[in-house]
Amino acid sequence: MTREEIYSEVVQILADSFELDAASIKLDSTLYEDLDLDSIDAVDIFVQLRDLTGRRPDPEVAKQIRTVDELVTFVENEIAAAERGDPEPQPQMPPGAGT
Amino acid sequence: MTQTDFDVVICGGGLAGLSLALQLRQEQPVNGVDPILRVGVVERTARPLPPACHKVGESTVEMGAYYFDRMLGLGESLRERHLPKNGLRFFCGPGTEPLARRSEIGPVEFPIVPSYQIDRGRFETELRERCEDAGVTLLEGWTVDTIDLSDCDDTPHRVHLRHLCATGQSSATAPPDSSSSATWHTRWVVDASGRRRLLHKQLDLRRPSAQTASAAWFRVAERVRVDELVPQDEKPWHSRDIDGTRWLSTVHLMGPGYWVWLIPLADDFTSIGIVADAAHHDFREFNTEARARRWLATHEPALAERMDAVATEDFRVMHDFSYLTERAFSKHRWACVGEAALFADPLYSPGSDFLGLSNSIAARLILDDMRGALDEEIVNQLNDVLVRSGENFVEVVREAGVTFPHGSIFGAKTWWDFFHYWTFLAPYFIQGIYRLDAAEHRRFLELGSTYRALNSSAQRVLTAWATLKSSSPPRGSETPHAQPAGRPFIPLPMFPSILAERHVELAKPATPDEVYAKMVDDVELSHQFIQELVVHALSDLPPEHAAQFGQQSGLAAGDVRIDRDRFVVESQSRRTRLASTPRIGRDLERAVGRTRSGELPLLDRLDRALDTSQRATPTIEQPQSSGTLTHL
Ligand SMILES: Cc1cc2nc3c(=O)[nH]c(=O)nc-3n(C[C@H](O)[C@H](O)[C@H](O)COP(=O)(O)OP(=O)(O)OC[C@H]3O[C@@H](n4cnc5c(N)ncnc54)[C@H](O)[C@@H]3O)c2cc1C
Repeated sequence: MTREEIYSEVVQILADSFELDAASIKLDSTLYEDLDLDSIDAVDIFVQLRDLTGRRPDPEVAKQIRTVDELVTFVENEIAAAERGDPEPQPQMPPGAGT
Repeated sequence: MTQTDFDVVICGGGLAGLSLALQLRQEQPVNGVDPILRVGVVERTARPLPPACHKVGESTVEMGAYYFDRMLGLGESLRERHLPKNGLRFFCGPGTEPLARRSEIGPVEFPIVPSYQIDRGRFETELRERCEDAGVTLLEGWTVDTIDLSDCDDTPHRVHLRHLCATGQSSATAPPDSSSSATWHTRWVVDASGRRRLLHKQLDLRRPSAQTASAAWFRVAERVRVDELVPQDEKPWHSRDIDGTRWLSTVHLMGPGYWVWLIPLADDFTSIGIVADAAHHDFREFNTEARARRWLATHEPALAERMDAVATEDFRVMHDFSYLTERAFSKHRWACVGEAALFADPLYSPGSDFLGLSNSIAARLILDDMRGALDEEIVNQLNDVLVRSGENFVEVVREAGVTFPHGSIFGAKTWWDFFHYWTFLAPYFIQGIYRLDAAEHRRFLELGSTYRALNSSAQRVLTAWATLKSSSPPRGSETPHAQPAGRPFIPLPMFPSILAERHVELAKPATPDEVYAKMVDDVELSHQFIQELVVHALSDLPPEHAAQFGQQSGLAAGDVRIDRDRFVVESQSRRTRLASTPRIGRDLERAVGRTRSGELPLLDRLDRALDTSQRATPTIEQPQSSGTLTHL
């Protein structure tokens, strides 16, 4: 997938999930200020992006992402990692899961 | 011979009978019963049991898994000799659609509270050995002919047995005398004979169930995986299965009035079954192997094609399998457990839940009696819990068939059904509430009836939504993208969400007061939840169906608690809307998606449903005669 294609996929996901006008989403839009998303939305974006990347995201990396541009780069890196067959981060257990 | 040979005789050594015998021996020291409890089990079949090709009932969910794993201490064996289960996974939509186009509802990751796919032949063989090791007298190859119940407290019941075959009988399990028949005297008698329902029939305890469905199932000596039904080039579909563990789920392929299960078993066997509602499918269309294969070719062609190359190891059918019970526990020292008490439906695999619950209640009552402390009041209360839980489960499945083809409606339904299960019955069982004495237990009984009313209400809303959806043409004006057949994937449970919290909390010990307080809070959440179902249904259905929806869902009759403000904000911007949507509503929307109500604002649809449309400008402050106004 080219960077262009990834960008348009990401825009599509954002527009569909959060009732945004696709035209208003720019590369330099910030997720939390410009697009008015919150932390729950952020979790949901990364769940949806897994369909695109085929990998479980590293939450530490995901937390740093602030702009659409960074999101596209993140997906690009994830796809590359999946192609290289890099080991995946372990599933995140929510707090309190003690089994 | 002494006056009584046994304290407890269990008729039938299947999953329920064997685990009850083990449970009685294990719980006894804790309950201070002395001397050692004498437990006898009579079972028709003798070892060796065939592995894999044995019995239906392989899939466990939280309560059943907790029962075998934590309460009976069989966790190590379950993990080593059976398969860990990756939750329940549903594929909705007509089976003639490619699988990758059908909405999938299921866990994203392996569940936190574990469950298992059990190989029944292997598991029951192990349970028989464990029972013998624990000092249970297990009589194999013998059948119970009749049971003479004693009608007074000091005389034992008499269980009449007959020898079936002489083979496979070790001396350790030899009958009381060597003749071909015997009578056992016992203080307690337990019917665990499964569908044979020995005592249950004798006492005429069966109550009809409103669920009228039948089943057929194949056992095949090969792994049939759901991902084999989807072409490799469906990349996004396959990439959802990050760890390649989707096949470890109980897979449900769902269509109008039916579902088909795929359950992986150890040793590469697979169980494949059809469950179909009589209102939609004639049993005679799938009651033989050839017909069942033809039925699959019509309704689930991709699976049928995959199965063309696969030979059947065994094939069985069960006509109209659902029944309930009048009573399962008596102060006259008898009990019915497992399928000898009731079986409502296999959807969501509750068989082992009811088994664990009925066994645990029976064990409690028997041990109470052995300490001379059997309280009639608690017998009746606990009987009520089991009987009503069965009825409640029938409510869950009775009309479910109309929701199966619709991904978002069935998605909302599973979300509700799991929420309902994880907020009442599962914590009730896992936290051991059935062990309380009558005075302390009573409040849970009352709460149970509140929960059942909420469940009926939710099911009515869902059924009305699905029935009207099935009868309305797809919305023509919208592009396929704006109006997908449903979300491609609905995570269940989804993290973070209230539902996921309830799931995680199942594994955390809590005191009865804490359990009670949480359940009371969750009644409030249940009301909010049902209102959210109404929001989704009214947004989704064409406005001309709103009035009918109001009638069929119970909304017009005032059966659903409505807060009009919630319907007002639906038309506002996302930020404003989310700020005043209850958390559970946001969870549901994140999971199943949102349908915008389009031409007619949601509040107006609500008014049509409440049948108050004659009032042009309804005032928000004014309480509705047909519903309670509550601010969430
Ligand atoms: C279509 C369908 C699908 C199901 N799927 C599931 C599922 O996925 N998960 C689940 O948990 N449950 C499922 N169940 C329910 C499952 O069958 C029960 O959970 C479980 O088998 C009940 O165990 P039991 O011990 O009560 O009965 P059984 O396992 O049937 O045991 C009864 C025992 O009694 C013995 N017996 C009978 N008569 C006599 C006699 N006269 N004397 C001596 N012994 C006798 C029999 O030999 C047998 O061993 C399903 C049921 C159906 C109908």
